[in-house]
Amino acid sequence: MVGRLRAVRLADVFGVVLLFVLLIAAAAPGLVARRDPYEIEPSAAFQAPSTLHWFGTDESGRDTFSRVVHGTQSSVLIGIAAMAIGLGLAAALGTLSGLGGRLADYAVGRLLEVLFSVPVLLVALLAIAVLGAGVVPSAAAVGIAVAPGYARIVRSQIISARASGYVEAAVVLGRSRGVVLRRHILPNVTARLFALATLGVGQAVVWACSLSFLGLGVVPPNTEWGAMLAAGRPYLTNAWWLTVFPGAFIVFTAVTLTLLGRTLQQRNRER
Amino acid sequence: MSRLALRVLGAVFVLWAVVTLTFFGTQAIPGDPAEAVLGGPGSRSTAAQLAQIRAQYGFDRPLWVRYLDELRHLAQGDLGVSYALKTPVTTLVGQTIGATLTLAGLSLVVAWAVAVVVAVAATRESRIGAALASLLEITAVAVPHFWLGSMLILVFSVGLGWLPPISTPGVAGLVLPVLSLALPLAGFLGQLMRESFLAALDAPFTLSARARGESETRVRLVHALRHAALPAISLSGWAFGSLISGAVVVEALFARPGLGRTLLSAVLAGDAPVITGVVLVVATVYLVLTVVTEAADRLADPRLRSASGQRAGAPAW
Amino acid sequence: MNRHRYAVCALLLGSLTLSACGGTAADAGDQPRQGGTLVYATGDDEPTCLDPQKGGNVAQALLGTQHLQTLFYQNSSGEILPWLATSWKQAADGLSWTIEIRENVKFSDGTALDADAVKANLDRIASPQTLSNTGRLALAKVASVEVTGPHTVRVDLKQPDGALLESLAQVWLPIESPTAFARGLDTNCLHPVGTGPYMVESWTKQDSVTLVRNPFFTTPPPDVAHTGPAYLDKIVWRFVPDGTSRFAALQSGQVHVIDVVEPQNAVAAKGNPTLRTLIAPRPGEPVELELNTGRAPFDDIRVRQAFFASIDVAGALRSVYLGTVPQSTSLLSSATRFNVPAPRHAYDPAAAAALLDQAGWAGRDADGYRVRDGKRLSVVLPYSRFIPLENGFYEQLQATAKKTGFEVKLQPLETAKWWIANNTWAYDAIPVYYTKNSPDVLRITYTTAALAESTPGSYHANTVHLKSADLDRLLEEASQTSDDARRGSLYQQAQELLGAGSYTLPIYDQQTRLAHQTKVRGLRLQPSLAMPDLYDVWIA
Repeated sequence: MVGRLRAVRLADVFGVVLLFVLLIAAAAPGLVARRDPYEIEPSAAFQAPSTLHWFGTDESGRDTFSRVVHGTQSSVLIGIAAMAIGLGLAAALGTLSGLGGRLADYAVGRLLEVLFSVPVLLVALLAIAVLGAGVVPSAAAVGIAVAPGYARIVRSQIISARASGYVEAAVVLGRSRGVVLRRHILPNVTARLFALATLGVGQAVVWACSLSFLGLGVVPPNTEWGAMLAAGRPYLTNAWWLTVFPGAFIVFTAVTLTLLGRTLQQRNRER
Repeated sequence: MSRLALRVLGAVFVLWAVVTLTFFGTQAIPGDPAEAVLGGPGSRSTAAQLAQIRAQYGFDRPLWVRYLDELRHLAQGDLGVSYALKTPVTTLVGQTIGATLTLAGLSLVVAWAVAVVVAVAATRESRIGAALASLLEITAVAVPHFWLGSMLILVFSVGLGWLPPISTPGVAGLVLPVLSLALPLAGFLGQLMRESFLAALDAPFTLSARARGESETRVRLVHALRHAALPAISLSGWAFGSLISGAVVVEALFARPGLGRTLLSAVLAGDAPVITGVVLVVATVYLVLTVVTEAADRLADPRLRSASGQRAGAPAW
Repeated sequence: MNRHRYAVCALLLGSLTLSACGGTAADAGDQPRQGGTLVYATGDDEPTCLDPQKGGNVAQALLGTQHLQTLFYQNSSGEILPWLATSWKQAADGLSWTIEIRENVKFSDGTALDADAVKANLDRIASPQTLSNTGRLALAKVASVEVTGPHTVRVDLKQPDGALLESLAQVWLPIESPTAFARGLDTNCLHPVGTGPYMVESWTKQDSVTLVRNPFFTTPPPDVAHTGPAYLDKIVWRFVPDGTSRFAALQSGQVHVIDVVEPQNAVAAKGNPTLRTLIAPRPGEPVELELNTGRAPFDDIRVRQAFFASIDVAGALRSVYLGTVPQSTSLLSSATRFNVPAPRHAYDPAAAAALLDQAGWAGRDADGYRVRDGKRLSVVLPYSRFIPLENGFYEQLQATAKKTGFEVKLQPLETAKWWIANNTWAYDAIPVYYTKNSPDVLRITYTTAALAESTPGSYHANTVHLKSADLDRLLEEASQTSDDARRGSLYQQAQELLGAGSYTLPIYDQQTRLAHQTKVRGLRLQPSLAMPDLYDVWIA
């Protein structure tokens, strides 16, 4: 057991370092990448990675490294926004279901089953068809699509928190419903949700990128990674760097956030 | 048996709700359905043509009349006719569902196989092995299908020339699409299985098996693995859903005919009957799988009262 | 050696003198081999109907060229030759044409080709029930078609139509079996029946169309290498929308021919000894950027000129297209008769700035964009993937225009939404192209009649929103003239007038871009629309 704990700590350190890199890229991309990500230079198109252009250049001679670093902001923001929308919906549904009495619980339960039976990307596609393509619709579509999964988790968390000893004790002690909810159930559920959200942001980034790949996501010349990937993929065979680096950053981000989310979950459990 | 009847009734309710949501969802898509019938707004249709189509298809009737009409047709098993392709939706779905189920089914099998191998191999008493497996799994989950597929094409089709980059009727054409779909799922199943596998190794029934003098290999492969597989089995319905999501992307990438590609082009063309038909069929398959896996769960482990708690652990994929 | 010969061929193909490369010269010493299945992977859309009489787009023309034929044939120098028609004569007043139909020709369902069949086809294209777009517009001047003998028809016109024969040489106006029409519109979409070298066998939606050799074939085009039935047993026409997958499939030998070859892949194919490319311009209007003169800011010619001057077309073509496509300098494609090259467009930010100052857009806001009366100089540009311009082109346009102070709002739209934007005039600049084998395309896209103002929100071909009585007169007269010298002079005046107005920025000629395995021999383009023709093709 001691050995496993140490492995977790190692992953923590790893995760925190990665997160730090990610945060700097998102908060102050100019510090990391000096070149303007939108500056075109047609005569320097399709240059392979070199000391001058670490990740090479694209079809307009723009610096891929700069674009990837600057893209952190929009990519992660879309992920966070999608997650916020998804978790917001999930929290509303989950709370209603967990605390709103038997009828509400039954209704929400059926609704979730309905939404769950339609795969995430199908829901996202329909949402995009209605809302149109773009940054906000992508975030909303992914958020709506992932909400049912999280709503289910929120619901089961609330139910288990409600059934736990301390809540029962609080009820026995005559605390009002609101106080029980505020003091005992919500803090417990929120901590878990935060961990879950961290895990989910990575997945939301991946989803948003898939929409961009299908041509339904973010508008060019935005440096969002999915849009960069979609733009670079036609050149897969002659300029691999346009596909490999943005893709690697998507994976890198999702992995970092997953490690972080794991750590948070572990903390919750230890508490 | 009445439990099953109730479950079936519930499934019918779910299908009705799915149809209702999809119907009103497709109504909200901007654009004139009459134009979709005539080939889209680019078809240079005249006002007279549009009026004729509106009357012919009944687009000018009130929304609720059309909704009830739609329900009536669907109840009779009539999925309607595609606006764009003028083919019955049942024919379209029939032509493509086999390919998608083959793709999804094989991917599920491969994902399972990979997950089991990694889970069993990585729970030896090696910290580095476990950490590595964990990182691999997390990475696999984080890889977008289309990126993985592109990388596979780059290496195995363009670079090495071993496998065809677009689908062929044979087995060779299935390898890359199946891998693109299966690896991310394997990462997820692997995480899940390794966790419960480790829990099972410390569980009382494993200890008693060891105490009975059974070999470690037997303990791992028979007792612990069976236990570890249970939560993953009950996720099959969910896994199918995630595979269908992935299929939309993978089918476009590898030019495979299938439900995903059909749906994608239907959404782009505003082809409401096809959208509704595909969503309905996918939901039906999902529900059948859920009912079957729940029944299987109950057979395998009578203690399981409900699988829903476990399924809730699935990330929104 | 082989490579050099190929380079010459490609060069000749560029100018559409196809016959020199029609397979015989390059394949000397090889005997055509009978049989085999050819796999063609198309990047164009999957048609919603295989009968090009309904609708009428490029995707239908690509496939239709393999199984359908037209009354007339247009060769690479634009001349009209007999095909399903043997001879034709225009009446003195220009208001009717008498056309003799070839005898002893049968459609692949056994129905005989005769005057009744031709009338049935032309009537069907003109009928609103057929939902024809391209064909119906091409026959707009036809009043009626009369059968005057078993193999003679007379086409009566409302006005003289100098472009009629050219129109009837387009695969969007094919002659199909009237027996097959009786099966109804939707069935005919699945299995149109014509006189071409191949027949539609089956269509698996979202996957492929299978064509088989027509054993009764008797009507080869006038400029091909052989007669009699086609060599290939079968063609599998696959829909592979992803360009990278398509090219990878060609490289791996999985498919024999692909179209819509992306520039970077054309470069890669040139470096590969087992692959060849066949790239040629299509007739009509090039891929171009048109400005909406119906509203500010492009109602002012100085702003239009400034916008064009701030776009580096040459730089974008060199980088995004890796120099594989020549810049177009004419309002008509280089494959269209009577095209007049204008002076090459120049990227000139200084001139652009001066023009904007003159036009009152002198101030700049905090973001560096030009302003006038507190309003930013903003340009809405909707585009869609079906218009053959790469994303990189728009992005470079946006970046260079920003330097002169234009804010270009790019709107990537799905096909249907793009058409809505087009139909509702929701754009300032819009990329378009138009495929037609006649300079009459100018009349279709620039005259006042093409504004279609009577039905708001409906399709209009006049995307510039141009109302010029002078231009209307020139193009109307040109369309009614059959005298080539007169037509040439009128079309020249029209192009000069349009050029002076700075409405349109030609970018490059839209192209048919094929790549194929070296072992695929005899692949050629039918000159009228530069569509691939697989009749002469055999696999070595």
